[in-house]
Amino acid sequence: MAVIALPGRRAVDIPIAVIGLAVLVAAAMLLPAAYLVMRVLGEGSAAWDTLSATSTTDAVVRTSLLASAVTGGAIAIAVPAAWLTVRTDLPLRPVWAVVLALPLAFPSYVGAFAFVAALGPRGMLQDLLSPLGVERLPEIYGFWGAWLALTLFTFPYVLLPVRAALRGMDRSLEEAARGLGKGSLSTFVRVTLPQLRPAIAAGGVLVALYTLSDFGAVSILRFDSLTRVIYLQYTASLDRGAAATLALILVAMALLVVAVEGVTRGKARYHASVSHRPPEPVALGAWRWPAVAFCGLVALVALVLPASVITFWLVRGLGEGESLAVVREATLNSAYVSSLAALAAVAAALPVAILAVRYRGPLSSALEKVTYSGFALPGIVIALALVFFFANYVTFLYQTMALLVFAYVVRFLPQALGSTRSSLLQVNANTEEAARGLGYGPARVFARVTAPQMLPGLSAGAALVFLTVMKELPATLILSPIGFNTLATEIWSATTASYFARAALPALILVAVSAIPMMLLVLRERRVS
Amino acid sequence: MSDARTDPAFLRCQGLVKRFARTGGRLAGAVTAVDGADLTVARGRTLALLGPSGCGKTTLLRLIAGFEAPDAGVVELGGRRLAGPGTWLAPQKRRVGLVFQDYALFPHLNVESNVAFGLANGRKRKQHVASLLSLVGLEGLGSRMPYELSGGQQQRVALARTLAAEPELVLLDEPFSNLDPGMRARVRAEVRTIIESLGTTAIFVTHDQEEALSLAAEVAVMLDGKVLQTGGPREMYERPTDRRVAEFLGDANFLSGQARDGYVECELGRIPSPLTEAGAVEVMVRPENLALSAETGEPAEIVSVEYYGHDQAVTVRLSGGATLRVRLMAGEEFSPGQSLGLSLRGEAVIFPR
Repeated sequence: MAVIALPGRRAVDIPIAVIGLAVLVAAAMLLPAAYLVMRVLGEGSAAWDTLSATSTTDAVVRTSLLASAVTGGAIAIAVPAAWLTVRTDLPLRPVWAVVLALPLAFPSYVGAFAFVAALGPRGMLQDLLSPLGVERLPEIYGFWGAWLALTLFTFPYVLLPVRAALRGMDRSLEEAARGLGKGSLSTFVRVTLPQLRPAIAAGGVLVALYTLSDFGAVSILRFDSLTRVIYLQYTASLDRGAAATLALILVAMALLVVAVEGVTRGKARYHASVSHRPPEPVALGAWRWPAVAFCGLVALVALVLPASVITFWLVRGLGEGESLAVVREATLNSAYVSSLAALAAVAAALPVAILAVRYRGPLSSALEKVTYSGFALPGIVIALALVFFFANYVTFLYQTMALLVFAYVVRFLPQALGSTRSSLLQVNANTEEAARGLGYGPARVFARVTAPQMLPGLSAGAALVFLTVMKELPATLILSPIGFNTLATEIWSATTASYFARAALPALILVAVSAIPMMLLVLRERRVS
Repeated sequence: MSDARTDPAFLRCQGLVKRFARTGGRLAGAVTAVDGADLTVARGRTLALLGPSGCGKTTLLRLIAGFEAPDAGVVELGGRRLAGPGTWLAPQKRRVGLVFQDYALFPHLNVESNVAFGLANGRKRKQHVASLLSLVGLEGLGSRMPYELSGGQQQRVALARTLAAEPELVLLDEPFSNLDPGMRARVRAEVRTIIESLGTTAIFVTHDQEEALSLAAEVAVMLDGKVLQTGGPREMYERPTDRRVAEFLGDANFLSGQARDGYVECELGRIPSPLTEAGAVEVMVRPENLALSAETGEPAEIVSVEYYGHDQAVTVRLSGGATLRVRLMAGEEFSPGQSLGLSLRGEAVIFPR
């Protein structure tokens, strides 16, 4: 008889309540995109006019160019940096490994604010250089500014997976290539690089999606990518149909990116090495100083510069008596709403994860896919769709904290689902069945056996959502109840009014909070090795 | 055996069928894991359910425990119907305890809390746990966490946890397969003693025929989703009713023969037979039921000798061409090419063709 993995190990008594909840969660996840589609279809010819307008085409082209350039730039920095910090005798290698991952702790709008404050007209660099007779710096606003900021603050998304791939790679393949008479460059291009392709593609997709959905950096640096056009359309004109149409175009672009990744990943399967011989570090020789200079330059612009700018304005602001009470309230608000969102996201992830892990089948995998799809929805799209929907149909929830939390859950549920799912996978299903055999019903089994074992994973998922929500800008901006200010909205309003001193403390708090998971990630990478 | 508590069909499974949908491309379709299985166990008896991997024995166990619902057939325990057409009792209401192959101890609870899990809250709870721990020989280990125990100790905690809930039937799924071989025999004997001392009805699932024969009062052999034969270990080994059962329970030689009235004619000569009808038959002889000597028997040539120390297996060829395995004490030395006489010294089993 053929040996089969029992599908849906426990076909018996799938709790109806779990299915009901999971369907509800999936429906909520679909709401923004489904509503946008309905709305745009309802627009009829007006939607067509928006679609075919040259301003729309221009915005799509600009956005695509930015996304491609940022992705290319991030890969160009990340791949050499990963190779240098994993496989060579680069001086101070472990330090660079940490330092080069840290720019991820800067939300892009904080980084953009730092760039403007440092490099913009009447910025710090200008002040320093004007005695030398320099009247004008190259323009920081526009495409190149946005490109630089987004590249420098997103390249670690590629660096981390490529580092992991380099560590796990089977060295004997490279040795085989050398044995077949290939030189070191040829080996790198023909053997190493193809093996890194899945990691580069995975990281590149994250960078491209981040760029497509980024709203803060492009707005501060005044580059009209789609998110900024949508926001201006929404705030400045009464034409919400046009904003909805543009939002749908943005969703289509995000889906295209995800689809392209599926194709580039290719068919080959890669195996990590079984025997873990420590790799022989490549001797850089005379190249070691240019290599250090490369890493140093990246660290200087992506880490030292923004950190010193924020510190400079912080000191100056404190000297001028900036109010700390405002920052205190914003910090508490951020922490409060982020905690609510983290709890709600984990609670919403549970039924979907239980169904996907314990009762595998067409329905549960469909619900899981729908829940993961929120990953491709930019924050501004979710926020606008919810504004339109709730202002029209569920007015009593419009402008409430509940709606803001709902938007966060839709945006970040995929994160919570990932860790919830993996923590449930680690719970031995036999322990649940053992408890059933000892007379416990399904609900008590979950409370007494499953949940306690899942707790560490659930907490990690909640912490991740908490930290990401703290940094979220566009949904917070659009959906916050009137008078509810968070760290993100404080930074936004201070920066757009050029009150850099007022933005410094909230920015510092956000960066400090975001650095925590980065540190944990790097520490874990070390422990694994 | 006329005790009022004796119930020959305490557990009764009849005509159980379980199919699984298989997803995925060209292989999609249903796989029948259990295909009309019948099984009865008397109250207080232990039964070893033996079969090769993939024969459906674990699925049968899960059908009894209530973790799978049968597509057809009934399960009854002590007169209660657990599953059948229109009937379904949830696993937690069945009073059937399952000891898992991987023990499935709750990793977040210590030994004491694991054992106490199925106990009702009450004043005697602590005493009860202590007496169970001493029953399985783990006194004083109550505050250990599962990961601090050896495999054999975990096994005994799992058993104590199951027994604590006072189940009417205990199911043990490959309970000894995760233990290292040196330990297995000892733990096996201990578990058997504990279960028999409590008079618990139990089913052990195993794929190891030696374990099955030595462990339980009864053995059931399962193949391709069906229970082929149930009986005492000796009866099963010596008088199998099916050629596949004979092969699965140990080494077996098969010869073709012709039945006449009261005897069978085959290459070993005339063998007495209970069959009255004439016709082609198959004769099964265990290797230890054959003897080699210089004086008597059918002429045979030695093909090869495997020496094991305590005994030896000798392969011989009869003049008619049949090759047979003979198991002998190690004393006498044989060499390939030697000619001797082969004779039957015990029972042979006759299967009609």
